[in-house]
Amino acid sequence: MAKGKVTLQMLSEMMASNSGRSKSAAEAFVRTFFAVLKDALQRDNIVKIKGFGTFKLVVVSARESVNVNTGERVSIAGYNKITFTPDKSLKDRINRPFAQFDTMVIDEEDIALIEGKDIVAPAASAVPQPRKQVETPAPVAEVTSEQEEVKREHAVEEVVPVEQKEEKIEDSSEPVGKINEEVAEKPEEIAPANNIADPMPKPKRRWWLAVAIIFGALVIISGAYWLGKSHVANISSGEDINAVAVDTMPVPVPTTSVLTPQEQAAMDSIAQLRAAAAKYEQVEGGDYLIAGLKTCRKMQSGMTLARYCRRLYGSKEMVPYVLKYNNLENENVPVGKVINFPILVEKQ
Amino acid sequence: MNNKEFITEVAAKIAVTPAQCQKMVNELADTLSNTLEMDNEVVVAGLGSFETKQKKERVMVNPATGNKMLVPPKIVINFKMSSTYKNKIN
Repeated sequence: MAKGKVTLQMLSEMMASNSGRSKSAAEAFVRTFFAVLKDALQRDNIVKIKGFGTFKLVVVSARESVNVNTGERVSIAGYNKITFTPDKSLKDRINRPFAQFDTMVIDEEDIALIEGKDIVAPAASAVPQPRKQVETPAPVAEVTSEQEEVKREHAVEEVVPVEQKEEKIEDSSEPVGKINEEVAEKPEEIAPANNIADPMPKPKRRWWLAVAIIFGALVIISGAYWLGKSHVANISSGEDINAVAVDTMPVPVPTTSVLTPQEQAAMDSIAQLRAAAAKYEQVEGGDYLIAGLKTCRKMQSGMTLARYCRRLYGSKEMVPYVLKYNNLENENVPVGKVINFPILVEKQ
Repeated sequence: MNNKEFITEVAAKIAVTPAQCQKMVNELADTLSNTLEMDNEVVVAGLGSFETKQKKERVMVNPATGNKMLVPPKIVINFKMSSTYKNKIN
């Protein structure tokens, strides 16, 4: 969608014309508004403005990831970010086009009905499969309003992106294929697999055709996007690292626990380490520099690299550094192997 | 910082009453939603940008009852930090 960019100045001009205030007054207000907001966020971490919304400062912890091209472990550093949640009035205003919709219960009977109206012969097994998880005992009484029908159509068309999202970590080719077939209206080239088709209540066909085409366009775009994303997901599909990494301690390891006893205290020694770090190959994107040998350990049965890291550094976050230092591909090292653990010093 | 503090601070800086200031905030929110409704992106220099995003329908499972439910499509406001601000707070 082509989005026009509106600057603060334009915003204040619009506000002036809408409210009848002078341009200068409106501009002064708008500038002050955002200036105070920025300032307050630094002081307070949370700013709540009635009629507008809430701005919050959130700390995101560091996590391990993989370089998509090389397969090498990288570390995505922790960072701060600002989140904005709009006030109810603002939210409702923006959502006006969809205001009449509401969350509704769907069950197997509706799905069966949708399946019955399929135009293109589907691999019918594909549809019940993803929904097999929850089986409602008795069919819920059908609501025959127009909205319900709309939703059923949307359900079939759009449920596939959901399945996609849920299965994105695993193999993606199937869900993408499902999206593909969903859009029976438009020609598609993303993937094969013949599954769900587009169910249209025949009497209302003409009008919903237009709506379906618009949604189809949205789905194609998102399908292409998910395809690209799932390619990334495929690479990391075999490992639990992404899921596990969420559990790591959010706070970066304090410098004192990382340095060996001989190199404590003085700022000089830290600077020395940073200089020394130039000799070693570093991990992409990480918050820490490898600056020498700290200690070595022989891998014992029942111990993992992650556990050693936790003991030595206080966090599993450091595993990519250890791997890099030992030129290892992954953390499954044989029992008895000697692993060298590097000194890690914070980047400036 | 809660609403009252924020309003009084802004009001003090531009010499209006807090009540007037709150009114102006509402007008600003109004103007903002007008531009966002027309599919524009509002850029606040040094902070970030506001834009609308469309969320598609999705199936969700009610954790309490275990029913499958259909969440309708909706349009939401998204705030994205600018890179200068990102660097500033990191």
